[in-house]
Amino acid sequence: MQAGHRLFIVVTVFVMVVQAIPDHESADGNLTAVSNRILGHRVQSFLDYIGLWQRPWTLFAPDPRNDLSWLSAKISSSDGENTEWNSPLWSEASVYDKFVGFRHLNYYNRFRDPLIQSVPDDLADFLGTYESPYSTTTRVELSLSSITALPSDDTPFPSRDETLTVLRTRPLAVRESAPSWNKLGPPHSPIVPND
Amino acid sequence: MIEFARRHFDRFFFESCDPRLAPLIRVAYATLLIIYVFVLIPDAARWFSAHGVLSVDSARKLNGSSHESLFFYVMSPTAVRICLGTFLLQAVMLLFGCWSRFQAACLFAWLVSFQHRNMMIIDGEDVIFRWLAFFMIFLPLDYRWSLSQRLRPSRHDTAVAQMWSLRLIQIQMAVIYFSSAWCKLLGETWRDGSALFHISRMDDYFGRLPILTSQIDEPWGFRTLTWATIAIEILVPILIWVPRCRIPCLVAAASLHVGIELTMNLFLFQWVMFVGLIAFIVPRNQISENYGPAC
Repeated sequence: MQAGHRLFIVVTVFVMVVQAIPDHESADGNLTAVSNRILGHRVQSFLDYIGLWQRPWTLFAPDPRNDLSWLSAKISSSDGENTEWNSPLWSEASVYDKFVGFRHLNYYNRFRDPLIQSVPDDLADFLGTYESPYSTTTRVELSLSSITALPSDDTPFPSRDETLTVLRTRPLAVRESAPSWNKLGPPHSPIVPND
Repeated sequence: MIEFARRHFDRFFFESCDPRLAPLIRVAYATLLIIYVFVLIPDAARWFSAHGVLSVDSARKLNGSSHESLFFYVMSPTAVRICLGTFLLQAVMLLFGCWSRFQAACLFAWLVSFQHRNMMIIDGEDVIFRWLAFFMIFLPLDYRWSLSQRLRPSRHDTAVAQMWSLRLIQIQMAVIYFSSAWCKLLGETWRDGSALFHISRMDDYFGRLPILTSQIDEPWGFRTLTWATIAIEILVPILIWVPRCRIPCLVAAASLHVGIELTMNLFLFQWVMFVGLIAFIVPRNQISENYGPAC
């Protein structure tokens, strides 16, 4: 019995430690997971399957980001009316809103990373279904805006008022009438647009 | 040599921990998990159902092919809400100690399924919640303060032998700190001491309470705090195994988490780290009793 326990403990500790090793940057600049190389793809896939996976504990590493971003959508109807939706601007949210809306914060922040295209498409479809006050939504244009602090040689650590920033907007998805639009019932948890 | 290693291995994992820590972890963890689920309930359909923001196809592509979830197959908003309600009920049963190990196993399965269904909304704290649930499956959770224990009291010696999973929690905590320090040392801003300055400009996460803000605006302030963070994350996972250093390490780690909790909006991350740190507490009367080296 104890031999089985010992084996289980050793394997568990090994798996925990290996999965937490930081990703390795190869010569071409790509990051590769060290755990995949040590454990092998099959073992890592098995761990992913049963939920015993973890990743390197980056926690604002290697470098904290220097931007603030939000999503916007222009929702058009067939009669020419437009409405605009914005994800919450977290810098203006209260501590309580940030706590109960933490999942939203995580979700919207992920859009700054490279994603598969179907993720913004899904959000555009969701907005087309639930966010339009019109019954005949035909088009949703989703974009990501971000304010990035620019580095400065003169003042490397500027105060908030002195920080130079640049605003960038990039399109994420354009969706024309998805099949689900206007066919579902009212949303169960409506998004509160941030005006 | 092998016999020597085996004896020390057995002593470390099977003979040296106080079983009273298991119910303490159970109560603290279940309390946090109830809050965790409560926050998810209003948005259950949005995050996990077919009517939500992430289709099953996208979730599968996002995760890679190897992550599975019950909610790749159960997709209606009503079914998702019923599952989340069951999840909540089982967290409450864990809190009160009703067949706690069974509840821990079910909670682990719920966490895997919900997290795999929408990886866009999860982060490090979700991983800790999941791993703690896994470790708790093997702990004598009903040793104290438990409805099940009232019906069928557990034996002390058996409970001590079951505490090996507490060691795994301790090792997991050390791994988190060490991995975090290693990742930070790969970043230029952590090495030059300016990382906290940049973090203080992240208006979505930073600025919970107006404390430390003036210190972080000053180079001496943010450099001290940045390097102190790295020092704690390097030293704690090493020195915490030395009995004499255990308390200072716990104080340092707790100070780090209190500081982050007061200044940043990171949901339950700091609290679940505190639950993990409970595993390192050595009850005062344990030192002179029969548990071997301090757990």
